[in-house]
Amino acid sequence: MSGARPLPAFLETGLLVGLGIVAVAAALIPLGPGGELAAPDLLFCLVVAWIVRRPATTPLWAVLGLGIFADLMMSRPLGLGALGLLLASEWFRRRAARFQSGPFLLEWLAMALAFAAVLAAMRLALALVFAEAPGLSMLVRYAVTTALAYPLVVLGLAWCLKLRAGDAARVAR
Amino acid sequence: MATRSDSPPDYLRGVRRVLVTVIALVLVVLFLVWRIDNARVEQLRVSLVDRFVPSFSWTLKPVAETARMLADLRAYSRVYEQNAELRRELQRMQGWREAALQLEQKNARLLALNNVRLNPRLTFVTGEVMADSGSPFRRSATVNVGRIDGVTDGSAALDGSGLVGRIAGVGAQSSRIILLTDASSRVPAVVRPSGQRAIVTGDNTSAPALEFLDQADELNPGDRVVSSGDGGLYPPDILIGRVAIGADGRRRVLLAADYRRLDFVRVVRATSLSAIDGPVELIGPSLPADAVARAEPGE
Repeated sequence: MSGARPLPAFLETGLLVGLGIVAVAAALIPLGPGGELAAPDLLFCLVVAWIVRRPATTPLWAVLGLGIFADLMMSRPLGLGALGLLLASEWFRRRAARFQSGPFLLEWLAMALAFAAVLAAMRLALALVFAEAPGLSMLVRYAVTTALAYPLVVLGLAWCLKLRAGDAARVAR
Repeated sequence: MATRSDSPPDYLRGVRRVLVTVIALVLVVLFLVWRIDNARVEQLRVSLVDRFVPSFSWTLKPVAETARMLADLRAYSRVYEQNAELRRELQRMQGWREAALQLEQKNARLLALNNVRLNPRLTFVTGEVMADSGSPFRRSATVNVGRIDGVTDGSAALDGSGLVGRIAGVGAQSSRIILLTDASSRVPAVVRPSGQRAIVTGDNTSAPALEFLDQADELNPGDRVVSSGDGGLYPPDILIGRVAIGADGRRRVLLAADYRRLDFVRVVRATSLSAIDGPVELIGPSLPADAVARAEPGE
């Protein structure tokens, strides 16, 4: 549907940053603080979903800023979470065209594996500097809930913001 | 890879790759700084949380409340069984209540007999939980009381039924509680009937482990674990939980504090117990200053 006019690039980036802050705030909602449940990393889902659909309006500085902000707010090791988010987003940015034309299942699988790889790398880095790392079962649960949240985030973006795969290609044409 | 019309030219891609690498290195350095100078970075974190979270609490709180109501709604399906169960429990509790009242009277009599002065400096300030840690790397919660309420680093935090954790990081109007389940939490404790000392060690599971036990075999599941007050960080005799035996055979503590419904938290305001500096002032009545001055040249 080409009826909707695309937003200016800076507005789209601003929207991404705003949604990113909302995603971090959502993670802070106290739903049983000490419990076994792991809330999904919505920021990771959002950034990956956005960068696959709109690589042009996902600048490096926005990802970096959101990553560091999330590190500080979500009591993750500072710098490490941002690094994981940045490297994963760059990986997806380079393959954005391929994911846009491919089936969603492939994108989902790639996202889940990328998040699992980021968590594994973070745990390894924490072990290398002798810092306390969360338990393996906790991280597995974290990866699963985040992977399950990804289609919902994509659906939300497509439904509310009309942000669909292939839009960027159409705009470019 | 096929070159697309909207992809940047090759030389820009090279620049971009260098840029990403440089930023990645900066982030690695940031991580190392966090590891080396943890205290200062955590202070930065606390000040950011202090600025950000109170302004967001009006959105965080209603969502948490709604989720809790939905969880309660699910329990309505078995309300009849629950009712019967509660009735039975109430009957049992009435017996306990009688016993407790008698014990309370007895306790009051004994305290009067011994002329015990209880520590009057243990005062509380109650706060509301605003946010949790948001990631599995820390088990913490943010409460809306801070430095202006007299909260200090290291104060113990309790809920209605037991110890919750300790304050680590105080902002002006918010502070962070490291929960007992966090991997960095250690509480010196006593197991009640047997009197054994142990350390309640958080390990990111919902039931912290009991470590440094003398005779682990002598503990029975259900024994009460209370804080011992050793080290002066936590006040003594605060209920932590009950002993349970984990699937791996380790002794664990089922926490008394209800982490799923962590709403209001009491923070102990000042735990600085008076330390005994030396034996001199303790022996004999304290003399007035001029009497001391007169006595000394004579010796």
